[in-house]
Amino acid sequence: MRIPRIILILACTLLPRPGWGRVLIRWAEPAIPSSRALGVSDVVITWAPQQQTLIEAARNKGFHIYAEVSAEQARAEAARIAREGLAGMIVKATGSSPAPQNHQKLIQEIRSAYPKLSVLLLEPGGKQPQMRGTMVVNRNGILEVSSPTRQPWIDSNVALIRFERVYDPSETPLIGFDWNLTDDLERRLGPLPEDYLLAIAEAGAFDADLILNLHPKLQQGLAQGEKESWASWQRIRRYIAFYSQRHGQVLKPQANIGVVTHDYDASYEAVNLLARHNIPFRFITPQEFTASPLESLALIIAWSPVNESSVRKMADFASSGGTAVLVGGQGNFPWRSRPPIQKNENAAIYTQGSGRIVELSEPIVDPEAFAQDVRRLLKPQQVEMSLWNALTVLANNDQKSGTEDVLELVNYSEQLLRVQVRLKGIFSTIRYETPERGCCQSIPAFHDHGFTEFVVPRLRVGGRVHLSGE
Amino acid sequence: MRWPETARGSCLSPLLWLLGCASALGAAQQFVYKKQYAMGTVYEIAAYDPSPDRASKAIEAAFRRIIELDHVMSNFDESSDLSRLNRSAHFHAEAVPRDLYRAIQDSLVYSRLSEGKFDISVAPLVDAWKAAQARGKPPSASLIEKLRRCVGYQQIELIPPNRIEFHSPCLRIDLGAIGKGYAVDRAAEALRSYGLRNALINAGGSTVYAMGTPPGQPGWLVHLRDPSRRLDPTVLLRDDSVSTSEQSRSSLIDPEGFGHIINPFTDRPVNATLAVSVVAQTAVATDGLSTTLFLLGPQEGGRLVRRLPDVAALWVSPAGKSNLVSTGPQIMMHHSAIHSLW
Repeated sequence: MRIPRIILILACTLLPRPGWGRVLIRWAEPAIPSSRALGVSDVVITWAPQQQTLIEAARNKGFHIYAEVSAEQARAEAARIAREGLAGMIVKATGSSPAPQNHQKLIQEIRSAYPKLSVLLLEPGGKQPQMRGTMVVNRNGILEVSSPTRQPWIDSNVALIRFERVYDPSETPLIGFDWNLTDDLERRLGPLPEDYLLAIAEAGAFDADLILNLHPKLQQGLAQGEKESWASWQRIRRYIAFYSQRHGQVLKPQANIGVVTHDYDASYEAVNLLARHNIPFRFITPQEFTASPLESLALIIAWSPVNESSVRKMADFASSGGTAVLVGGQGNFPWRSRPPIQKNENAAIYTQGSGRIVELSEPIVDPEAFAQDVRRLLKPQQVEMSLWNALTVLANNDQKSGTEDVLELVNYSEQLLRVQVRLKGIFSTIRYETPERGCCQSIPAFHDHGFTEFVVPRLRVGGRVHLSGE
Repeated sequence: MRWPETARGSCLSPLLWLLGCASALGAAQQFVYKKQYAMGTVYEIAAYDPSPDRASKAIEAAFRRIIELDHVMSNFDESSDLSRLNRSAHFHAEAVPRDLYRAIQDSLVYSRLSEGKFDISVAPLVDAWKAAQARGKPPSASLIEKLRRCVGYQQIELIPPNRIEFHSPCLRIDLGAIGKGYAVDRAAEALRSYGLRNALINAGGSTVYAMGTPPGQPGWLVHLRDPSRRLDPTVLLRDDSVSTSEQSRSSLIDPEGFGHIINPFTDRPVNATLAVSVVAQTAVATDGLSTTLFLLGPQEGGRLVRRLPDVAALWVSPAGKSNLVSTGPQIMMHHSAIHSLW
């Protein structure tokens, strides 16, 4: 039976989704330790004739082997890869994010032809998660401008992962990236162990699968049994195990802001900054927007163009007390029949029933200010999550069951923080676990007007808070 | 000090463009770069040295010094020396670490120079306006009146060599406007103690200090923050520093929203969107002066700069108006058509 795509989208975005967080390692050095010793079962090897020895070695060491091919190679090489008895193939998508539809079609075709082969699409646009400075060092030695931001800039894959989750709901997003190594010393020694931990924590906390590039020095060290490399690996391995615990859990995102867009490029920067400011949101496809109820939302943000039924839906949403933000809207919208209550060069605000409609001009001239405006547009009771002393932390709050929430925290500074959290809801039991210290430390909670406040005592890179007992 | 929790830090990053040409590197000078989160911002250090291992160790030592200072000067950390001082120095002389004493002493210099417009005791008002911003309503007049009694640098008494007393029951110090500069100067000392001669320290883009030069270059070229995007001002740093204070629009919807820099004379956020960059010998001087000159504005601030040796200041508005005053350092402007002054 063929299920219409809209039904699938609605099912996958409105209903809880399984958590994930699988790590595949990319290997290129000729020798490889055993899968059991590394605690990882999946290895990614570039598909090339000269890699046959490595593929054999990895097979003998107990790995499930994924051959990595370009989208152009994929169809031609699928038969050989299937014949080799490999576990699967990774197809590297090209172009901008999210992966174009022709790639998804290609994946489906190969899966149909070789049902035993696991075929995964590696998203384009993945980047090394990191806290950035304002100095940028180029390979030719020129240091230059990065961002005029007022707080630490964070490179994250969160917006990309969330886009993928809604636009291809049947797939777990698979991300990968090349390390951004700035000087000779770093290029020689490779990333710090904390950099690996951050990549694993981000993918795990935000429910993506990750292909982790191991620097040649680490690969060699592991293959040769070097003590230092194995000490680093034990830390990495703890993170892999920690985030694999999310696998299979049924989680429902806690977000009362809906973002309606079909245009990744137009909305990316603004959406990225919503994530960066820990403003809980969920994507809604334009189809879902018109087809589904919006009662659980306090605010919706829609990027134009919007069709007539979407306009009507926005007006209805505002009439019943919500706030609707329309970015770049052009047209004769019904709310424009009344003068705006506030207007400037970038924005106009109209009342609509007991709510309001905010029109913003496009492109958003200052995505940073936009993200802060979104938070201000919410009433205090509608702000579901607030963090303090957490300028380098991104958080993901999911409902695990009717009375239990799971809050994942990822610290991009990789330095110990004591984070203050305020979440909507009354939770009496709060337990905190980290890959470093295991499960679980009880944390005292304070309740204030329908919110629970607590302090996470030690967050190095990744940490998980379990909240229960409403 | 209460390091900024939201995007309302005291300064916007100046744009940096630091040249260290690869062709001039040669084998003798290796480039090493590291970054560290501290005081609510990202500290970056880039260095050239024949020994990358030594440079790496020196940078780590500089970062340790910055973190140590964060533990001294943070007002977010309840166990910091500043938090302790803020709790217990009311009508009671309290012994403090040397760094805290020096940072407060340096701050008071700028309070006196600006006749109180730069004031490290303005924290209660800052907090009231931050809370107001979250609520979307300004604080009440009665609250402002109450808090005003807590503000005033004259009520801070330094008792050499290491004691401080507040002559007010509710005074609180916030070193957010000068602490980064102080930390950058101490980090430079740490680098020098390892024998490093050529390095650049960047505190979140708002305060930069340059030691020596990149190989083959006359200095470190820094592009300054330009809200108009028309002037492209630059400065060539060599054993000196530049800081920028900026108040930019924080809302697309409400351009009249509250700013983050409080004028202690009016008890209100400054209603101006401009960037002020200051060049001087030390980072503590540029950090303190940039906030001071932001509050004083181009005219009064210009008069102050003319009284100070080896200082340059540039005010730039989003519309491209600029005012440049210097008693030594050169700030280059790359757009000749704009010379409109306030």
